Amino acid sequence: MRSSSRFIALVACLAFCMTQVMAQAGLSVPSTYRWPLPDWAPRPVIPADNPMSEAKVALGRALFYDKRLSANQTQACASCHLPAHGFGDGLALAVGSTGEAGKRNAMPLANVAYLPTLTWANPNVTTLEQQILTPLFGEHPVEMGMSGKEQLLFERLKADIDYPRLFRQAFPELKGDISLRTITRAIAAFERTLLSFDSPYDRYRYGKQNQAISTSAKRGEQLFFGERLECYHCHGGMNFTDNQIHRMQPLGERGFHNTGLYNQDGKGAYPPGHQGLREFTQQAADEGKFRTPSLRNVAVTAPYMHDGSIPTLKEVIRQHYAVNGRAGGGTGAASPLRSQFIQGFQITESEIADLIAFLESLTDPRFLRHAAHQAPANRPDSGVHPKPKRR
Amino acid sequence: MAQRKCLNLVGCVMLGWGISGTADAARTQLITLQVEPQLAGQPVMCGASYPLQGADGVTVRFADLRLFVSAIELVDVEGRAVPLRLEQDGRWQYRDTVLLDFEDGQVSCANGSSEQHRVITGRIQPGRYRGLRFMLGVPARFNHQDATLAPSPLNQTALFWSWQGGYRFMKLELDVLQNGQVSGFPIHLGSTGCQSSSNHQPATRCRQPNRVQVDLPDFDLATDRVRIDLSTLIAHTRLASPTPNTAPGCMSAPDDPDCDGVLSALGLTGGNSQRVFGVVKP
Repeated sequence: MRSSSRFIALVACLAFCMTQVMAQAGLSVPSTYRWPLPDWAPRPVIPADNPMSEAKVALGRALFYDKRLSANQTQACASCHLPAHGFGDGLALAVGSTGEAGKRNAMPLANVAYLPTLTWANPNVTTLEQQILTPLFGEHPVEMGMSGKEQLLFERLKADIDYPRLFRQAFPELKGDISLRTITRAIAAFERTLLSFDSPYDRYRYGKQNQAISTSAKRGEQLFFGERLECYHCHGGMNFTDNQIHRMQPLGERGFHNTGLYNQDGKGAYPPGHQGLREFTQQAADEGKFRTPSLRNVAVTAPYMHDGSIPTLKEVIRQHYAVNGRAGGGTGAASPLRSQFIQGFQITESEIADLIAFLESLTDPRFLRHAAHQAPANRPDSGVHPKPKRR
Repeated sequence: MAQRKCLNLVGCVMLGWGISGTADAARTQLITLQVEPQLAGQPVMCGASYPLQGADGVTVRFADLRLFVSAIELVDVEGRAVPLRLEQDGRWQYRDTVLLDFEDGQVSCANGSSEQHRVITGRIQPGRYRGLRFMLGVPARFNHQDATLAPSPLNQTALFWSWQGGYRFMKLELDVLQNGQVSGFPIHLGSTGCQSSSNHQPATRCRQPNRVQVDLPDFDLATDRVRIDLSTLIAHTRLASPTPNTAPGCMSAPDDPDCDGVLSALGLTGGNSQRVFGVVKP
């Protein structure tokens, strides 16, 4: 060995040892992880105790696609979060591993790393690590059905041919501990890599490729960002939602809004179990407020709204937003609780077509097909079960 | 690695106790508190049925009961409250909080686990004690922490209430039998309406903390047991026909009529003290 390479080896070894010592001492190890982001996109904020690493992402990916995370081994995270659907599931309401119908439309996961709160309306779930506990252990509704069965889960993973090694590689400072701590952190790390910034609209707007989107989509863009439709007030920013947190905006911003989808009593009531933010704040004014969803890949995430109650984008525009919110359409009364930006608008069929062309330009085909987002090869129990029939 | 530090700290504290352990043992007495949940005046057992329960007088089968109790104190004849120092068993009892588990995973309790914990063990300085006090619930300082880092018993996922950002303080599940049909009636008690003071803090201020202070002024350590009278808990609840379009059973929702009787029996609403916990005399 030449002295220079010996020196390099020594430095590398020292660096590794320092990292280990720092990790042991509880200091955060400087992350060498390279975010697969375009230059213009700010980096996500990540929890101090869960730095990114390739090994952690690889483990999280295996876990995300593993049906053994559900009690009856029929459902993985990916069963409700399918890449082709923008990591949604194409159903109105999610269906759990035991067949129980859920209460919400499964959320797409593109750029979930930039969300300050997770889920449709819970203001208290602020990290993916925390959010994962609800599908795993929730009982109303049952999703993965693992409540009280965490030891079974650990045993399954410990008995696997690959996991002990994958956990050791991902969590050397914890000696590959297989626990809720490491399972949740690995899955969260994988989810933070689900980054969609390469849609035709991104190329047009940030990449200065003037021909990346059609003239119809450009007209739709004008409508979307215009004062007649007011879409951008809530669906603004790089992820087309007024909910975001990142390195350049570390305090984050949140937006929960009532769009007038329901008005069951003339006072703005939503159906039972659909109170949105009010469920947590218990404030009457928060009835029907839901977190603005991102519109990235929205054309492939139908059906729409928190309860999947609108099948197509055209109906979302024509039968909901254009008429003061769906409850105000036809003979109904517009909800008194709806956001001030829901005022209805006149719109022609060709304008709707333009607006949809713009929304379709937010679909990022490379994101939907990216090999690194799919089920890992050579894993015995990975993959997703066949899509249940639409109810 | 904050947790390891914390564990080391706990280790040191325990070691400190260990060193003085013999002296400590000489100075303190070991206390075992027996806890007995009952339905229809009988101890609950997995698989057993109990007639004439709830406002509608139906037969129920016991399926699950687990609950957290904390801040346990004995009251001496002068009226001074002395904290019981829980045995730190690494499984059921952590600091001043204990998980009681009355299901054995058999028959109607199949969703549970075989392990049970029906007693509270701890040490207390010698004295003339005549009363017992404790709280039903996980203390606020533990309730909103990261459950994935919590020590046992706060790492038991059956008691996680992630949706509410805390734990279930009590998880009671009954099978309701009527006309050959079986329906479940779960009662989950925990803090609700919790809010965070900032976007980066866990929620801590809860509109309904739902912790129940229990005061048993006449409790003889030598002979008495703590009774959990589940029949009283559900006495005013329609078990076979719960209110439509509300959460299953009672999920601590203040606006769910199926919770009215439950919260009132626990003294959380209605202004009376709790009527569920009492004393079994020999």
